[in-house]
Amino acid sequence: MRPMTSNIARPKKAEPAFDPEDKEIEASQRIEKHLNIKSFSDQYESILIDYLENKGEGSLLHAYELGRDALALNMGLLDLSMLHQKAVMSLLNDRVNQYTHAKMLFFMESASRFYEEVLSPYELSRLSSLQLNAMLPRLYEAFEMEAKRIAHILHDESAQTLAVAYMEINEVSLDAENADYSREKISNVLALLENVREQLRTLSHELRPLILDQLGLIPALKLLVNGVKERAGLKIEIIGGELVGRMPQQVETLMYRVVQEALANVSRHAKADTVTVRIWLENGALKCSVSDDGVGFNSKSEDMKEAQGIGLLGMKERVAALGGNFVVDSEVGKGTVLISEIPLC
Amino acid sequence: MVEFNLQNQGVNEKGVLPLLKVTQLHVDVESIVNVRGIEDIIEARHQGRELARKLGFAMGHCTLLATVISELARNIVLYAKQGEIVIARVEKGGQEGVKVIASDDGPGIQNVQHALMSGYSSSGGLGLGLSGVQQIVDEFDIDSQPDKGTKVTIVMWQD
Repeated sequence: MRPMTSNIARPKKAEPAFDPEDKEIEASQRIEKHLNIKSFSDQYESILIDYLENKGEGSLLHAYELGRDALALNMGLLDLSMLHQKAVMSLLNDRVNQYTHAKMLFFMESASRFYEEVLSPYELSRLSSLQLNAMLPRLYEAFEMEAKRIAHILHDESAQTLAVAYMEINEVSLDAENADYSREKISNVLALLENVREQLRTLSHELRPLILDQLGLIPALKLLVNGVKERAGLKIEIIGGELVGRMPQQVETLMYRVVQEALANVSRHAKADTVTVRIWLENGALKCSVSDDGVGFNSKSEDMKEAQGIGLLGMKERVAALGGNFVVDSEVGKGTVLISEIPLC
Repeated sequence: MVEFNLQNQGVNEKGVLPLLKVTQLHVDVESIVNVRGIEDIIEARHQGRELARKLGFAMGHCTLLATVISELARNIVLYAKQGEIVIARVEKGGQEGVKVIASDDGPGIQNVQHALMSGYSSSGGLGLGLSGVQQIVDEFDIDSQPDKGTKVTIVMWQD
């Protein structure tokens, strides 16, 4: 009898570190996965035979455990289907000459019953992900609320405290006019305070620009673009903004986040000189493209997910949650274009 | 065993408090399985599936019930080492169903909400399958306290 904890007791592999052995580790992991799948398919066939010969709840429990193992091996449903079919065909091949018509039907029915049991963990997994997906929009809403709250504290409260400290020190500096040394020290402190004030201001804008709530998407984007221009030394142009008025708050917020994430990615990875942000309305949807003339990457490759960064993947989900669309198109040496659309209702 | 489900219907338009509407919930325990290992999980699944079959559950429905029992039993064996699964026939207003109560005196779940939201991970995290179980069944109740054990009650109605 197979121990039920087989896939849990397996030792966890260490996170691969960035060292020259990376490739070797990767290769050995691939081989291990291959061996796992090989032994999985051998097991599959023997447990299926066991079920066909003895029936019984025990082999059905094994079928269910097989389904769990397949999930743990990250096996696709179609691959699992192929594997099942192959096992059935090979068993059938051995028996086809001895079986009567009725026995054949019985064999097929039992095999499907077995497969149903194997699939049940996938059904559990599907239902859980449905539930989690349904929670995503609420999660993002909670995130925006929290960002708003923190931005408000940074902008209003901390900045004011800082202003008071600033004035107090300024007064001391006036009193101490005769002591050159103190005056120099204090003016250093003043410069530091000024730095902190600027940092807080930027941070609060990035968390949740108050201007987004007060004046809308376009003014907020202009402010964002100015900040990125300064920090990253990029030429950035916004085209079409004057045509777009106020839109539902969640649309404005999300499009702001999309552009923010796109610009962050451009300045981190693209090595670009110029970026163009286009905004327009079409067929009841707000559309936006962000294109750069940077180094680009192969958007059709497997590395797409990594290249996009976790931020953009998150954006994709958020845009999809509002019924919108989100594509990134890039080629090595040809820059990157990100196009996003969000329906207005 | 009979449980009463009392629902106060409120004051009607004549200003008279109507009789409390009483829905009787009949619970007949079919089997109790002590769960310690794989043989007991097989037995619990078998008992659950047999009862569901007797009540005329569709085939796929029986499979899902067996899956639910496996998940609950698995959690008992993995985290509490041992526990108990009660399988009962329930009847309410002419409708029949299967009730499963899985209980143990194990370490309990620190954060039930988290366990229910953490998705279906086959890597062995807590809350393993619980969120999927919650989606499959018609009624779901969990009571768990750290160091005091866990009790999960589910009902699947016929159809």
